[in-house]
Amino acid sequence: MKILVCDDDEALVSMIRFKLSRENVGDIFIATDGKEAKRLLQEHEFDLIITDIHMPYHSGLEIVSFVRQEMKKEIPIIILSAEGLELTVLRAFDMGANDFISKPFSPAELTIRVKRLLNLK
Amino acid sequence: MNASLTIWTELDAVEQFFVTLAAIFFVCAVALIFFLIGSRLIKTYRSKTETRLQTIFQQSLNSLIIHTSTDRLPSSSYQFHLNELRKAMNAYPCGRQVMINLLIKLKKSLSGTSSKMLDTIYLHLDLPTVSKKKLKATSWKIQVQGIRELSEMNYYLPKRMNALIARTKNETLREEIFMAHVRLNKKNPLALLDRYDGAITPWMRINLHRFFSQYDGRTLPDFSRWFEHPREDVVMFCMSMARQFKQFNAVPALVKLLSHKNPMIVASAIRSLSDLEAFHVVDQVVAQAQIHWSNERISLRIIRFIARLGHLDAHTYAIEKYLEHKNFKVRLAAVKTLTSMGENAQKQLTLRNKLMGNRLTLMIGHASEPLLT
Amino acid sequence: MSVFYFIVHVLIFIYGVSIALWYFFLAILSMIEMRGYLNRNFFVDYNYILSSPFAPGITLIAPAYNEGLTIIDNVKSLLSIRYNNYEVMIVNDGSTDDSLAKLIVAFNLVEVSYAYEQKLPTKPVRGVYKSKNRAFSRLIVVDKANGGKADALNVGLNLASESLVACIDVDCIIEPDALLKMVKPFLQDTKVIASGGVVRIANSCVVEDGRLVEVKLPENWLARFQTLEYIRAFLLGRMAWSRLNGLLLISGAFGLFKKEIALSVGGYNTATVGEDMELVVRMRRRMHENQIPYKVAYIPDPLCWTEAPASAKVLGRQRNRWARGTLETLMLHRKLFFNPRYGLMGMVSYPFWVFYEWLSPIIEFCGLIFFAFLVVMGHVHWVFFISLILAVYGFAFFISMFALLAEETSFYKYIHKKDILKMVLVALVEPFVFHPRVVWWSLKGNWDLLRGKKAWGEMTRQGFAQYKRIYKKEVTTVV
Repeated sequence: MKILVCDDDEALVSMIRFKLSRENVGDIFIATDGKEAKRLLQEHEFDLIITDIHMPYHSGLEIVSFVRQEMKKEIPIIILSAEGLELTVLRAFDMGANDFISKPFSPAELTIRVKRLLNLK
Repeated sequence: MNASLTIWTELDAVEQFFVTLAAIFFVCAVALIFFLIGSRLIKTYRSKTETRLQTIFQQSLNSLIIHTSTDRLPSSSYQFHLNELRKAMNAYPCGRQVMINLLIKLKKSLSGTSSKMLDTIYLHLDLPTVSKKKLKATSWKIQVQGIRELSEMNYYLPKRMNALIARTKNETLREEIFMAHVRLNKKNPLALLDRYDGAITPWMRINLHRFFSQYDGRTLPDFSRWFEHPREDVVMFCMSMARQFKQFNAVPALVKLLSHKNPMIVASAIRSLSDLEAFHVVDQVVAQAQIHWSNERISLRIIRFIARLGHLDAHTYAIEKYLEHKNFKVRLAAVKTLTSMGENAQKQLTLRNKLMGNRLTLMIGHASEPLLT
Repeated sequence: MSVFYFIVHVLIFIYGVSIALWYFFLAILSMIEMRGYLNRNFFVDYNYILSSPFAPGITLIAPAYNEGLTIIDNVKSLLSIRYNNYEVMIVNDGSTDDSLAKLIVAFNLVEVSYAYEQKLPTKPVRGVYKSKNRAFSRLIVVDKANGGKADALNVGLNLASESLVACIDVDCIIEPDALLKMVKPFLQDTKVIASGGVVRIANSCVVEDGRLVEVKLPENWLARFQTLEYIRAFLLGRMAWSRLNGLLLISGAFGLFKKEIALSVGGYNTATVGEDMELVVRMRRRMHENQIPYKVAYIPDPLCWTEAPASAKVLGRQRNRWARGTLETLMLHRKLFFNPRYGLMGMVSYPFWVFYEWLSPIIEFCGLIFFAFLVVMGHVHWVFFISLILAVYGFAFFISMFALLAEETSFYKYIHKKDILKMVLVALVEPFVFHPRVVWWSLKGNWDLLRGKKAWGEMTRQGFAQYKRIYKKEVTTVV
């Protein structure tokens, strides 16, 4: 299983990586900005994407539309963002995100949602 | 040297003055250049050290936080990681500050047990002393920083800081103390409001709303408590919170505010009533149309209230009257409302339009445009 | 005759010393204000505004005239600004190219019926377009008959539905955080009626999809001079004026206003080329006349990047226009001159503009003529002259270095160490190479305005973006 985590907060990304690798859900790839995320998406086949909304160069929503519209892929996407406005959440789902987690979040909850989307126990 | 000296003595006083001036400017400019380069070097060095430290801290922090949120970490292991952190932190003069910054940053993203763990680490690394020292600084910026750190990490704020809120003229400092109070005073976060005579700016409103939206709804303060506060911006703030957090018990107090002398408060009260779906008070709300006929804001709020009602019933007349309001926005809102309320209302609107010499045709076109909603 | 020389000398001396003292005072004040700003906002998390239901609505008004080449990228970047409650209104000012057609195709636009109130008189609106694609629901395109930039902005003011309006140049690169930062003063103080931001030079910077990816010092020397000039003007000048609450100019490239006030004073003045400055002055005047306390705020963060003219011809045209705009605004509002009724604006800001912004090129030029006259007459006291020039040159260099210091202590965008040395070189050369031309251009602008009111109408009809078009061509040929 390959998982892509995009967030410009390096401390947080490192923690998510630590948590997910301990749970043995798969290989974790990290992008700290939108450009890198797009590059990695083109180079690898991912099974799941976790992305923040606000990142340099391309926003998380742009990543969602890139995956859905341009790559035409059904990879599960979790949005992990502090922008918990109803409008933003609806927009994210509208564009094809599978799940929305508001920051601050619990790492344990994130793991459960990741596993569910990957159909793991 | 001699040559330049002879030139100097040959200059008259004014010329000497100019030359001296020029020399001073050049020396200052060159000093600035050195300062610039020095500052650049220091900044580069500092940011490098900070990144390095962060990576070191991160590893220990990861194990501390992740373990405790799932399975219990044996206390020996906890102590081990804590010692690792302490060692790394004390190796650099800026180590403690980098650590605090990192903890605060993580705190913004994490909730639940992981967040509590961050508080514990802050305490066990003896970082509150670092933050408390800042409170004694002369620079208000450092003071604010100390307050922010202590309150973000759920420590406590020394009592003497409370007195400062009334004394200080510095808005940033005052806001910070206010926010710290709200963060730390879990039982009664807004206790300060009772005696508060400063302004609640829209910026503070945004901060407070953000804070309370992470609260458990049942423990939120009852905002209607301050609806009679002498400061009008406090009243406005509390009304907006009551409607954002759907505090239905605020309705009776809101109805009372409909007779407030400040139209801004009346408008906000109507808005809150409609957001709280207090449709049983529709008559009181519509009655305001008479009193505040020419007020744009109140008119718009009344129209929206009726729009949320979803049906016209006895209030057709109120809306139809607004079709002839002198304010364009009000007329447009009335047209939009009638358009959205089903066939009967639309028929009425067409009828009125004819009576008014088709003056509303453009607005009806606008209102029935699906892309403009 | 010697009495005459003496008087001229004394006058020039007084002027020179006063201007130097003023600039020094403003520089110090700027540093203080900058520190204050940085300290106040050190802990601010702008994301709070982003995710708050209390963030005020903003309408971005971007007039476009024959921008077909870049308009799609520009609009896309405007649509990706980080703010939740905003709409992007592109006002197509009767472009003669395919701008509108391109927009219609790229964003799947359809014409809608849009009711609005004609609060400001403008050239007729030909149509309002919205996108059928939900992803572009923020976009609204207005097509109107050509009437110049001010007229296009007025159409935007008429149609805007939010309470704050941001007026921008469509070809500027707006930082994603720009609106969040610009709106903050309005949140902090309800007396704020307008806020402006720093404009920076984007030449040689790396731009992708209408977004700034990497900041670089311009390769072109003319652009480099302007970089230093902009840092000096924005970080030293305007910062100080905002501290005094005496700011008269918010750059037309990016400013945020309270719509109701802009509308109530009659919107932009279509009869001037300095419409950005004129509006601010008029808004301030109205507040003074109605005795309402107010504030014009200013954000030192680099929020807006613009391509500076890289050829002397185009730059000359731009400076000519600026000079005319300044003179026109000053003449229109001459009532302010030392008028205590207008407070600090009347007693300090306005006279400052007259004496040091408008008059200084003229005085410099007259000084030069006088000097030439002395040379011809053989009256020049060369030692005196050289020592004076040295002092002036030293001062200019010092102020430039001070501006770089302001940049260094705040945002230090030019991160390479070499860039500092390059900028030092620019500062050393500027007074000889660049400054005389700036003086000449603004003189010519003044002259053009005084001489020909007739040439005026033509200028407006050609449209505001005419000069941009040309320099874009020149830029591409240079590249």
